[in-house]
Amino acid sequence: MSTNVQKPSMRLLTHEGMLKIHEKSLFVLENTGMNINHRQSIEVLGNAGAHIDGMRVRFPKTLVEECLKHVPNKLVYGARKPENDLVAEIGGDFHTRPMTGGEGYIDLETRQWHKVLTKDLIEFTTLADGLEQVDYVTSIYPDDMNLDTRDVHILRLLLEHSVKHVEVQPYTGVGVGYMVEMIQAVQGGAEEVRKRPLLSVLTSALAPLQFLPYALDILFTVGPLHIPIELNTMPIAGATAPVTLAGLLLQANIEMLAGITIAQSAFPGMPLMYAARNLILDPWTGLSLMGRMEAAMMAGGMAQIASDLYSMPSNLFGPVSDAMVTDGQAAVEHMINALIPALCGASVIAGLGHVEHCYTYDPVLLVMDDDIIGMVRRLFKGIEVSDETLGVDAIMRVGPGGNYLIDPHTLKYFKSEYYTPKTVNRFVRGIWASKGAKESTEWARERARKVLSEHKAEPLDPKLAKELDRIVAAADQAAQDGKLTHAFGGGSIGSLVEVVSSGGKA
Amino acid sequence: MSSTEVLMQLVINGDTEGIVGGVQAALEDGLEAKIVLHALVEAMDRVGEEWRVGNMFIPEVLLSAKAMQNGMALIRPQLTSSEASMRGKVVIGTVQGDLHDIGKSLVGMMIEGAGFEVIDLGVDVSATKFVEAVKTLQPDLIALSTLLTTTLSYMLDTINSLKEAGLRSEVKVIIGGAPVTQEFADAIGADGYAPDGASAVLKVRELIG
Repeated sequence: MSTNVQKPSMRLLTHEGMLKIHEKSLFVLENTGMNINHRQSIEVLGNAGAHIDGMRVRFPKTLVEECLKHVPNKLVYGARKPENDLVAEIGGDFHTRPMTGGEGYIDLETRQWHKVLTKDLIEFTTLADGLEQVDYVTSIYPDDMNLDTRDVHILRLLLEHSVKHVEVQPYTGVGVGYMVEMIQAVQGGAEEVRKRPLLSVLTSALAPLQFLPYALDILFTVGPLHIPIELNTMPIAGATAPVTLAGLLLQANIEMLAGITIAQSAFPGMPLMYAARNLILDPWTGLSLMGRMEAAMMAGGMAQIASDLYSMPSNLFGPVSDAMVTDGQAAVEHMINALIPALCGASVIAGLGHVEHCYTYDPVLLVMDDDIIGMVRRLFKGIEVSDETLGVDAIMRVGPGGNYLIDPHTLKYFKSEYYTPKTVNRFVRGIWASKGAKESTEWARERARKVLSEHKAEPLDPKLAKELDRIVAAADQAAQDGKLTHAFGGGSIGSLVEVVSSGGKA
Repeated sequence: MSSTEVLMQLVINGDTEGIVGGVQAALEDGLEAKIVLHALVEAMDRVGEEWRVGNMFIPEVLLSAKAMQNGMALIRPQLTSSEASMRGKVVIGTVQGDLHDIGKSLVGMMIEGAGFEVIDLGVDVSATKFVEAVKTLQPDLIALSTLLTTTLSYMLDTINSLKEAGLRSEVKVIIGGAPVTQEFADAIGADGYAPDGASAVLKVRELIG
């Protein structure tokens, strides 16, 4: 039987356009360079042949191109239950994760906004663990935790409430040390961690053209174990990056190449994700917005550069939105922002379950995203054309005026050919009315309740849980002794006033 | 599993071939045709319920109905005519001026699957034809379908014609289709309205089951 499937894809840059971005990136890196506020990095880069002038590092073209060769084109994301392990590689399937770093939460029952509490982290993580289209879980920042060791406590909770891969956005190199200790305890040693790391961490450049100490401390702490890094930058078009789409892509790429050069000079072969993201300064409100079509286009361009030019897995936004609540705006923005980067070759689609430009989580939207991703994944299965799927026999069997209702061909394919969204209305008006005349968001809320009442991650072995508690307690003690202080606040609302802290959220 | 339970499972699984051997074996074991009939109908009730709650889908329900019909064919010779029409007789058709077929056929098959005898008059069925069918076939219920707003009036025509022929009290009338509402059904004096296939089956059972 011959099968014929066109894999759906989209490209937003010409090959010449991509090469131009690459060449200009090398040109700026060589001539203007970046501020690298990190002693170890400066040493490593100096030894590798970079030009060092205080904090300012200028990168020779040859060094950057040599480092690019060491970036793996395939990553393994391990999980507490190995069947949830993920492989990210060029041309492979894309994976998904919720947003990381948000501080607001919309209560499932009251639908009121409040600052994230520990119980919300547990609820959201349990939901993410139970939803089939959400591939791994991420850090959420509760307000009722000590800031210094919050990231360590978050990892402890994520490990307990999910069996999927865990991503954390840490705020200190010291804190990350405790995290590495924790996953070694879970995975039984460094060897297993190297093979299928249970943890990946996000670290970020600070646009324009800087790396802060904490960001590179993180890199140097996880580097020896080859724990994957989501190498992030979040330039804001018109504020911390050129206002043009191409200009933002160029600057983000410069920051990516600098991060790649630091990581590969220090730890050759270290697994990295091209996680450039973008915001757009709204000239009316001064807010940094992310739900727009142009944001999706820039994410698509980044996905294409990572995949086609550098053969490097990318981790991009993703279903993002500027909506205040889960409404029509949220649904539209999440769909376009999930679809376009996926079509352009992204390996991970990040941002599920949030509104308000990465600030607020909504469990209802996470459930809707489960359907959005389900639809996008159906798109990626394509239209299979084969003798069987063409149904020639069925057409001849049914003949003029007949019907296909119980033809064997219908019975064979009516389920597998279609993705059926779980939380949409599929009624005529009278039936819809008799079922309470609910909007689809209400069905999503009911599904969230159902998943939460039925799903619970497999518990940790009690001995392991105790060991993890010991490590967390050690981190708390270090904080008390003044040896561990957070370098950065949590995710901050994307306002102009807080533009400088944009490197701290993603 | 009891032998009736085996038959029910064959229907629920939509095993259109297995049911033939199953019914034959049951009859050979001395099970009365009436008991077999009861099992087949009860199986379809379960199928209908699974469908309403979303565990089964229309193609599967129709396949179960096909299995039930295959079983029925074997026991029909041993049943009295009133037993053979099972729960009751339904005449269905799309009203005059409307050529939409598939929705009406689907509802007909679903009603049949619930254990009723269904006679499908097809599409573009005039009031006269419906009256004729009521006279000759003596159904317990007629089901009128239309997808068009422009042909809604033929539903009223059909009911009026039944009245004029003195047959209105002999037969229940239900109506359905996209433009139809409960208010419209009440206004033209229909006995019931069903917004979709699942509720059509329930409505028929409520009126004559």
